[in-house]
Amino acid sequence: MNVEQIRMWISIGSVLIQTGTATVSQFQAVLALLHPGMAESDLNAILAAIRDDARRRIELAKFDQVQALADADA
Amino acid sequence: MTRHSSIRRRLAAALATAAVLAACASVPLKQKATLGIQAAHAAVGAAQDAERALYATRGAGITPQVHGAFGAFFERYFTAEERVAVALLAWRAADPVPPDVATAIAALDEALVAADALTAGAARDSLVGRIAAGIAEVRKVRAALGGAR
Repeated sequence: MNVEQIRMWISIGSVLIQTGTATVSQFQAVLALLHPGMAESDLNAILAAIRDDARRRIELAKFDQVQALADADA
Repeated sequence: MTRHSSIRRRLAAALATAAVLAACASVPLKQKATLGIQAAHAAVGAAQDAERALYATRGAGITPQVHGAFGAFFERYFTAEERVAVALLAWRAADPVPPDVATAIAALDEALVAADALTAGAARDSLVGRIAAGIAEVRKVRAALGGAR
């Protein structure tokens, strides 16, 4: 939830609670339903990208170690 | 507006704020861990790029020996990070935190701490900042997962 969304929900929640339309726990339950977080498939896509980039960076680090040895000998 | 209705309005706003903040705090753990590791990856990846650029110009006193030591550190860190990503991928968000995830994140934290010896010297401030940012993110993930067990 970004700042604008938080402000909007606080305004809506204030009205609902003040008018007695909803209790705090009911409002919280609605929020949880509307903002369940990211989909697991999205999280897995991020993780797969991290895994792949980590593999690329491991190869770079190995290359750098070999290059450092060669430079030290030169 | 009466004093009573003003107080009531303020109270409703405070209760709504509390409800919104509580909803934010209940972001699923897998999401917290994934976004934390993503932030650490970005920070340490930037440190690796910066170190390679410094070595190319022989800046910040990075000798071949120091560059080799950084290479060993980054290899260790990204190997640990790859294991974390694989463990998180295998974790179904609805399940409790698997021991593999916690173990992999602890290893990632240890790998980052090993960078301390490499980042001494004011000229390496940019590397220190990036690696410190990585440590902070990994610690947040550890704390979030630790609190869930």
